[in-house]
Amino acid sequence: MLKKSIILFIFFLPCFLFSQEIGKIYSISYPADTVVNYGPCYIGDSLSETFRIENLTNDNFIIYEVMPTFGILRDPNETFIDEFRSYKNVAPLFPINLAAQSKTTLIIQYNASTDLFTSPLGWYHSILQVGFSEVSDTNLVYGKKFYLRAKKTNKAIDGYEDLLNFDSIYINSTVKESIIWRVKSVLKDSISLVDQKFILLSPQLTTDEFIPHFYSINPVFRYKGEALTWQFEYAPLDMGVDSGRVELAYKPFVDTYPDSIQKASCKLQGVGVKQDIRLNYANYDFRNDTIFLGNIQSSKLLKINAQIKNYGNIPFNSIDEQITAENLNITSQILKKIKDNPASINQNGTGEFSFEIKINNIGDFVFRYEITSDISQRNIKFAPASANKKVFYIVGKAIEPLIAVSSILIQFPTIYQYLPYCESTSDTTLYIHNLGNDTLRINQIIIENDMPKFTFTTDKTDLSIPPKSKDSILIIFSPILTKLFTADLLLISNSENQIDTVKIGLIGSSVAPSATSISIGDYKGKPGSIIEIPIMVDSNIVFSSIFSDTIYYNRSILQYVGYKNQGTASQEPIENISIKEDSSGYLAIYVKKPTTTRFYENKILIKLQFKIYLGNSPSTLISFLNPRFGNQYCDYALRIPKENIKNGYFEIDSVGGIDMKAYPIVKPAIQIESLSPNPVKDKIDIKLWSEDETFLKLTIYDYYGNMIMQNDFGIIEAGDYYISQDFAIEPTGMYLIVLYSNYEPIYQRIIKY
Amino acid sequence: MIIFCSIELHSQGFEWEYSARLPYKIPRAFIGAGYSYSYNNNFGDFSFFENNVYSLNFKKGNGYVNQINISFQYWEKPIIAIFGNVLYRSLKTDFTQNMTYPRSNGADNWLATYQTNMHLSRDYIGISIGGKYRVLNSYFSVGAEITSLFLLSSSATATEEILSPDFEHYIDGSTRRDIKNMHLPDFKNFNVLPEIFIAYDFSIAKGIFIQSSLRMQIPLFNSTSSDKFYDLPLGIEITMFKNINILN
Repeated sequence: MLKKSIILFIFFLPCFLFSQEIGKIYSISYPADTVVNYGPCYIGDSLSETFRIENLTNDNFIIYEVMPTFGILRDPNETFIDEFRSYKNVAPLFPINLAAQSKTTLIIQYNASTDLFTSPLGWYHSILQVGFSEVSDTNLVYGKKFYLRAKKTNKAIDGYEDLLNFDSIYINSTVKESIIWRVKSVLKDSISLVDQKFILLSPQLTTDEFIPHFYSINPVFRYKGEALTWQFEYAPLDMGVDSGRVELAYKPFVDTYPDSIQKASCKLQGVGVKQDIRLNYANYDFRNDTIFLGNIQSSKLLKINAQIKNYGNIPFNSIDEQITAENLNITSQILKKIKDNPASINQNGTGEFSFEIKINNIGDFVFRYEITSDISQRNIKFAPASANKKVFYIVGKAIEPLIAVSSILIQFPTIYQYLPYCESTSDTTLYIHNLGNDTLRINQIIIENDMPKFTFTTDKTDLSIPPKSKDSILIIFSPILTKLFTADLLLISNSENQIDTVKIGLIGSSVAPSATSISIGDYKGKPGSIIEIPIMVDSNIVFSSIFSDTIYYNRSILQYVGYKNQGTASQEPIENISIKEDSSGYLAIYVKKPTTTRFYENKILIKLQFKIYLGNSPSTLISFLNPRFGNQYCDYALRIPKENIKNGYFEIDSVGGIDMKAYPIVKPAIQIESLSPNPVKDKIDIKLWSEDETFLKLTIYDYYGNMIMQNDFGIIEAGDYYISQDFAIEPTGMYLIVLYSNYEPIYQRIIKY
Repeated sequence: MIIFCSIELHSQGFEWEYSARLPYKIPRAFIGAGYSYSYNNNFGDFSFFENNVYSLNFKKGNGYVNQINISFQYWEKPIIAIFGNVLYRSLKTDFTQNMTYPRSNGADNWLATYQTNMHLSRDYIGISIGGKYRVLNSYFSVGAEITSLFLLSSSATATEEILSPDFEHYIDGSTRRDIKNMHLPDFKNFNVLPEIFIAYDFSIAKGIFIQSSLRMQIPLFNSTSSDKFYDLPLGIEITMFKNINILN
């Protein structure tokens, strides 16, 4: 094949040199070809071919019988010496004048000599050079070379070709390559074919790749010189050489040698080719034509080295290589291309390419490394369009953690400095979002505090946040001084370089809690009445929601009965009011508003209601023992300097001679509540009360001290008792009743009448 | 004649003429002296202060009234007399009020009842004028008078005692005490009191008769300036009258 190509190149070269429209020279049978196939020629017979020579100029030219205007030359590749001598000019005679705008014909005859020794059967080749020159000059003005070939045969029917070469056909093409084989009767008339047969020479690995189109009925060559054609198609299904032979059997001498069968045959040959370039190596995982980069960090420069291998059966050449991507922001640079190596990649050969890539977007990505093949520029038929480019896909996922915070400045609410009573802290939750698709690792969470250190702290020192999720850190503001504090919170992460460190300003201030005052006024009241004693406060109570204290007073004078909060600072909504009095006169007060609320601004915190008793003192202080105003942060949300605490004073009123009455008095454990009638006549009824379990004995003495009766009631329980004592038979006079018990005796005089 | 006689009325109705031949000019002017004793009901509502401490309000009391008076009576007509008195009146009044207080020693509570007794004494001088009308020409007459009193003095004593419970006593151990420093009701220095009476006159000698009367003071006017204090005495009065010759 290569040999034929070189020959054609040599032949066609003059045509290019003299391609001006000076003239035309062509074969009548093959007007568009420079190869003139005379076809089969029976021994001793001859074949002629007419060539037309046209002068397209207005000059007169001449064709001499000598070179360069005419010559039947030896084919340098000819098998036999002097093959060219089988060709000769038969008409016209030289020199031939070729007038302006005129044409002439030249008949070249092939003669198949009968001498089989010097001129054996087979193909005879020659090179015919024809041209014209100026009359006065032998320099060739226009000329053309033809490659003449004719087959000397001893067969009555023989083909124009011994080999039908389909050449390289891309496999699995939907289009079939077709070649016509001409067969001519060269001996006599009326020769019938007796068989048409195709024989596959190459191993049949697939279904039929050669498709011969035989006549349905064996045709008849009706006359000598009649040429019939057979069409053969070739569609390779696999790579490699395919070959076959077609045989046409006929009986040349059916009358004289009816059993004699000759065959005209031709070999069919084709090559199924395929461009099969595959990845052979990559510095990342690959499968088929895809390189899997996996998860890569975006904006990071990656170098990809790959090697391809030619698994096809045709050499592979790259004429261009590029990286393409759709809807993907990438930065790429090809470092090494296949075509940098000028040598073709032959079958099983390898080639390398490499490039650098940087993915600027995050998420899944696909881009291509496209190698443009030269297959379209080569004589390979039916190469699919896909073969023009070999595409390798590079897929992966560009990942990157992307930190986002809800605020770059966190201002804590002003908090009160409750130390040393309470820790004064405020905290806030900072949400950190990972907007990226890679795990955000905050390797360091640093707070750069001014002095004092540890004013702002966090609950975490590092953090790992999965993609598309969030997490939080708790920032705690714990001032120990009353001032304005600032600090920087640094989140050092693996996020994109530009924001791998996020700086968040922290501002917090602490102020001393407000001072408040609390007081109870001076009151008077009459025993038996209910007095309402308000606890007075000032407007700063609005900063608190909890009040607690224990109030002390003389419980023999005041006894707690209830409270009123309507219209006071502690009116509804209220969460809890607990006011409990113990027997010692300590009144524990606990008033709590809902956490998110505060006391109302009202001069009265709460009104306490007491029942007034004639007690053991004319007056009593109502003392605050430890008043506290708190809130959800601290029980001491308000300062109460000592001078701001004014205890109350209560004085018993409307009781004359209070100094004579108000003294510590002990109620006896047993007492006579009533004794009637007195004076008594028949029976005396005694109502008595005992505080506790005791023995009880009733003894009655007469005026002279004589015991006249005694009743022992044994052990009695605590409670009220009614004793009835008959006195009817006793003489009149004065008597003394004495009640004996575990306590002091009780004496009571009675008069009997 | 009978009719005439029957219509010849004499002052006081006394027939002091022995006979027509011994005519006796019936006197018209009399002077006399008398004494009255009344049971006095008091009602009112006045505060009692001990050591300037309000203690209670007294509302009801009772006592008696002694009065002596010098009277002048002039019979304007046989059935109508007018009179005037100069008098000295002494009132003794006792008020009692119970007060019950809840007491406590801090652990136990009980009720203690105190009774306060106040004895008031007032002395007045005064004058009164009035008139009386003989009823049906009998010796009974009805009359009315207006008395103007000038307060001479007032005084009071008071005590308080513990009624119950038995174990209760004062700080000194007693169950009764005198109230020494108290605040008296602000009795008016001048008081006008209307009074009505039913009188019966009877003669004991010629020119001399005794008027006995049952009288009641009408409590129209308060006895104190600012408190509520009314006296309602109901009593009897005996006054002996003798004619005044120079005026007859």
